[in-house]
Amino acid sequence: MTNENKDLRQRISLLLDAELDGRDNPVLLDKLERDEELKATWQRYHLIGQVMRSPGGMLADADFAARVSALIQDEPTVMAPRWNALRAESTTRRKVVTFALAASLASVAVLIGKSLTDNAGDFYALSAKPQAVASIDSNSVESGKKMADEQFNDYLLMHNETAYMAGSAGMMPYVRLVSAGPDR
Amino acid sequence: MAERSTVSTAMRPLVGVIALLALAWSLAQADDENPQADAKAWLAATKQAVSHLNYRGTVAHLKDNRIESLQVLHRMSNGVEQERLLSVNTPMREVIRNAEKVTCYFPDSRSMSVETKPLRQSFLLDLPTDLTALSRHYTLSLGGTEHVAQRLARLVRIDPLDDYRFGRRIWVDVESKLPLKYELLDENGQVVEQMVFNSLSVEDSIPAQELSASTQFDGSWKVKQHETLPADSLIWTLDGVPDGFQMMSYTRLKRGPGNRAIDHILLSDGFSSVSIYIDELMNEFFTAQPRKVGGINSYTRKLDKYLVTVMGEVPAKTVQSIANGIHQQDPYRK
Repeated sequence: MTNENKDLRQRISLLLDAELDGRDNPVLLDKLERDEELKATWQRYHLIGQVMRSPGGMLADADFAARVSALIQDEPTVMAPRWNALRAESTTRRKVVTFALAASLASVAVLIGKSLTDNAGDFYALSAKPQAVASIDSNSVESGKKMADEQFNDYLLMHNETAYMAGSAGMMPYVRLVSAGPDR
Repeated sequence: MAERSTVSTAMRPLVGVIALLALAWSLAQADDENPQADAKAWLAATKQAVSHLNYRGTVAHLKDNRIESLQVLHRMSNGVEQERLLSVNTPMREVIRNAEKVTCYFPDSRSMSVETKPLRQSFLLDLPTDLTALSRHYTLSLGGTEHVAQRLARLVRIDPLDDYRFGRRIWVDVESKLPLKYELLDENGQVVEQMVFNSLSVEDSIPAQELSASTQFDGSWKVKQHETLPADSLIWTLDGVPDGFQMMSYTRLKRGPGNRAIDHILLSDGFSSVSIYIDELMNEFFTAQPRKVGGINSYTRKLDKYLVTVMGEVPAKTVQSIANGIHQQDPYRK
């Protein structure tokens, strides 16, 4: 592999991890669109990322990789980066709400008495944080838990960080924030 | 018999003194006839004290049988409020507030966030501005006095009127009106989180340099991003929100590879805050688990292709009710 290639691959990897902003790297995006080999690299990195994010289910199928390779061959264009798709979609789906900021939500509805025992929705959140591929085996439950923990901790931090806006939080959200270690 | 009578006679003046003392005490407590109003006055004084005094101290924060020790500094100079809060142990997090700007440093994840905080709200104890509105959902009352951090403190009780929120106990310094101790109580009256000053000193002034950040950071630190969205862009309806909770903010966070968008809706009933996160569903594999960290309960569910997580310092049933009541406004327009 030439040095230039190595550098390109590194930059693609950074782009995928959002450490490079595509808008600031038009030349790289241009290359990515024109160069078939780079295109394949982008696809591969995407696949690697998805496999790493998966707790194990994706590796169950023996000819999975072969089928994906075939699909990549058949794919005429580069798949759009995920965030672009999301952004466009969320824009088209914005809808006006029925209540204003700080208006009481009480009028929207109160569900006292509604059954809260519907546990069909109980589950464990699995985040997108990359995990070692080695953990995709009998430890997949553990690794899934760890990923969910990271996502949960991020939410918890944000909650404590923004709870001051409630003007009320009652108990010092910043004390919680600094006192840190969400359960570890 | 005669002897007993003599003793009793000798004690008469003492009984008289006790009676007088009791009368004086009951006069001093006369305003307790309206205990709710009096407790409100104490809370209002506390709110004023935390934002206007110069003080420094060490705070112990207890949750889930773990104690963290924090340093707190607060300064009010020429109408500008400055605060600094830092953990003395790993991960050495630090929060700096200068007027409205709040910067949080997270050395453990090499990241920081910068927020704009409304004025007049403290790091320690954010009390609602409208204490009267609170009485629809909480009963406020005064308790006795006791010593906290070697200072005389008055107990203020905040008890919920339904089982959708937690109660609180605040021990207010009689002299400075600062909150010396704070307890969060779950639906069974058990303490789930506690903050207490181990030492506190109220000072005439605190040098400005003591309020500046000690955390060293460089260009490699990530700055957490979010954007505030107008409330009328909300595409979710919230049907399971208990009475009294209002929407405080609606923001979109950017996280992880590809700047994944996460919607964050913050609700509050004046004392308790609840966060709703609507994230992209990453994976179809789940195991059941409502969660609890200290006084914070959380509940997560799948909603179409989204992952909904609700958390806050409220009972488990509250976060479940809110999570189960979230719907997309028009599920057929996809």
